[in-house]
Amino acid sequence: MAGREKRRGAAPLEGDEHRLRRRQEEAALLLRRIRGLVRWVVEEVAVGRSPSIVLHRYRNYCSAADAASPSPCACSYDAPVGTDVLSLLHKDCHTSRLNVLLRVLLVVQQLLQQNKHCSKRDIYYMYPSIFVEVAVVDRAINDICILFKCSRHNLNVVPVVKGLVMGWIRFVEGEKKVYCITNVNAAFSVPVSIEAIKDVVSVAHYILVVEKETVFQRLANDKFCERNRCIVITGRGYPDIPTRRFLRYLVEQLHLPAYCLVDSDPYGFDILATYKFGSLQLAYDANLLRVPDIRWLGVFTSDLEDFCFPDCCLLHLSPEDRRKAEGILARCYLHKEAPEWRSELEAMLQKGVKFEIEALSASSISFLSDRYIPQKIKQGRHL
Amino acid sequence: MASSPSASSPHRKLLRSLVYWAVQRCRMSESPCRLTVSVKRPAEAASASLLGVSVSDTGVGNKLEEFLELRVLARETPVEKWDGTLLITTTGINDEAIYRYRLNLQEEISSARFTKLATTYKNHATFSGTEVCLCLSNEADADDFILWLVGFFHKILILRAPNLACELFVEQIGNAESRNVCLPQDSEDMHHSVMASSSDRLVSGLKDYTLSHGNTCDKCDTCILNRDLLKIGTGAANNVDRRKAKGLHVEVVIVIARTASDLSCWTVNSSSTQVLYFEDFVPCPISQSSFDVLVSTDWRSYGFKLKGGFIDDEGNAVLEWDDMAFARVDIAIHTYLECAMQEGQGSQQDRHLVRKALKSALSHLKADHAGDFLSCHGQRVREYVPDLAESIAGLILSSNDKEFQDECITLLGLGSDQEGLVQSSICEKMVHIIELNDTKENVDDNAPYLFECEKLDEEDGDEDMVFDF
Repeated sequence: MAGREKRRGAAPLEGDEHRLRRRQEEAALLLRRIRGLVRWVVEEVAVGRSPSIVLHRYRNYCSAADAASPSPCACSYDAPVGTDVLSLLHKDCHTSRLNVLLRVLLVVQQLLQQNKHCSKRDIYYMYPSIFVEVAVVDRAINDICILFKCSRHNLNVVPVVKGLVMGWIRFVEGEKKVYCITNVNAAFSVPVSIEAIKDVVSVAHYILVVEKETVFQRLANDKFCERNRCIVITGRGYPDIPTRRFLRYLVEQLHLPAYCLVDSDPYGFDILATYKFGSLQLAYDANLLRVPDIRWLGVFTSDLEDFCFPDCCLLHLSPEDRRKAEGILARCYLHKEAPEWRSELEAMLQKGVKFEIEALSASSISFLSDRYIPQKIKQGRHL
Repeated sequence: MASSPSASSPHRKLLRSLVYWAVQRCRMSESPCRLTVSVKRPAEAASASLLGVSVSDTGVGNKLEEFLELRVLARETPVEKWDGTLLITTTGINDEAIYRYRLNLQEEISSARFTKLATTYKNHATFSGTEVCLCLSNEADADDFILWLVGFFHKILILRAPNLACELFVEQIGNAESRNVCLPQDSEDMHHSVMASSSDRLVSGLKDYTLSHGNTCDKCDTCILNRDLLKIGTGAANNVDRRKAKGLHVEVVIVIARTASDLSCWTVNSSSTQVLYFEDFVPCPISQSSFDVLVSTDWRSYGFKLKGGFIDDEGNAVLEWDDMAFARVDIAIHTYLECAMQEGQGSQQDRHLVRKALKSALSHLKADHAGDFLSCHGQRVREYVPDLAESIAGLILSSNDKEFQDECITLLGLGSDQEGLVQSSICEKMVHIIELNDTKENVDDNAPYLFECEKLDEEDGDEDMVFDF
């Protein structure tokens, strides 16, 4: 209907009071579980036994697949593939892991009790001699999530956000109004936590995820969103948790298709795969972070021929690119869930060339926003 | 007797052999015996003057064939150092006379090798014994030889062999200021008894050796007072139960002196150990099989970090430690046949028994002093305990659930007014758990009761904490 736009609201959304109560219940439950663990550790120590904690090991993919005969594997988004036992008696690296886990748990307990939030870097600086590096805290947070079957945001450990969003959407993040819709060409930060989002309204037709900030700025500069009813998001390289959660949230709440535009090289592909399948590090939470229906819009090496671009835009794959591509090709999820993506990556490897999204500007600076993206979406030329 | 891989001088090899056979004769007599080594040294070193050496014992009479084994050594020795001549005086308990022989080991014709000298009748007296006299060149290294002999004798005394009294006399002759060195057999060990087992005697002797800083000083007043602070591990193995066995015994003793704070006279820790090796009650160069056992032992399981090992010029095994936590480690290995003068068992058998005895000694040490001899793994894990205890205590004491706090404090066996002891109590208990389980066997036996979050779910009946957004 001309002149009328279909407004999409995120439904069903909770009221503030209900949301607060729910979060309090989550925190209380987690605190109860922490006390359960501590009580059990004390019981074990008191009777002279080493506390031995089972940690499930999750794996959303393996690299055991072979092009000719993809072998069945145990990789799963839901079920663990193995366990580690953290105790005082076996590997000392596991004792070290237990040590860090309990120290981070001490901080988490305090955060939950006081309803405060902090970053993993904040936690690191509380006990730097124990943690040695931030990555150790990061792993302990993962361990705690696995142990208590929860997600990072449940622990009141907040990430530093690097994702950006623009386009036909408005929402409230806590007390802050994020009205992208009032200036669809302006970049806003992705919200830290989707739990704080309410009153989402959008008139977009699709969500476009771009790998790089430079491409995001190109689109903003070209006023892409003014001419296309969409929401554009970038994770600025490998996407962080808030960006992935936000994208997933929008896809689910607004029922919008999501397209992803990445460089035609193994790293671009890996970023694309992170959106669709999740990362290995957060495999235990991949099912809540991934966007399984995301479409690969480009860029493909075949685009150069289709859009008559000169060969000079192509670069040769380096040995490192080849190794990376071969590693990705062996991942089981490509065999199981995205064979057409795998074929495209294989073609890239066979041709031995790569090219960046920015190469599309070779003929015209706004070619990307004027022709490439609208045409591909309109014609359904995506995988 | 093991063949020596050492570069030790012919004099030393010769003396060691003569003492070895003398000790075996004493062992065979099964009654108290005396071993005396006497060295008479001219006042001035000169090629014309010789060291007069005599090795005498009151053991069973001598079979002259024993000395023929020295022919190889005689051939290796330059004539100017030793002419191959031994003067042997011997009598058995049932002999009516004392027999004297001159034996020339350099002589190729066997009939000319032995010369019988004048015989002395015993007039029905009942005694036995042997004296072997020889003359060695008195060259510049005679001082070293005598020093070595003193050290060698000290080592014999470490064994405290039953029924054997040992004496060493060194006399400087032809000089108005004659000097005698006499090594008596005494000990500061008040518990030393003639009835003690050979292993206990070795412990006593090795303690003295440790307290005299490896025989580098006669007596250290500070250390004597600390005799009971030494940490001892003993282990023994034998094959006497085996049908074909000839009764080979192996005893291993380890004595550990803690760091300088225990024994204040040692300011510098020793990072290597010269292993004392004895065969049939005589200090010997270590056998290759025993050395192999030493360097292949899993020392790390007992908290020792072995950097390496080698056999020195004298045939002694030297073990080098890395990051040594102790001031001094002394190790003695004694392998002996139940009956003297038997054929040996072969290195394979030795290796098995030495390994067993050494492991037993280390296990004994660890059992008595669990905290001091944690495996390297145990030590690394123990380092985490203070932090672990602090975290757990923090989780308890910072909880806003008083009931939970009280419950944990009670579980730890503390009273409600003892909150301040929570951390130290957890710390102690954890250290105890680590010490108790510091062997692979114990870890395997101690099947862990595992914590899994599902168990909490069963208790709570809660929903899973995974949310959809």
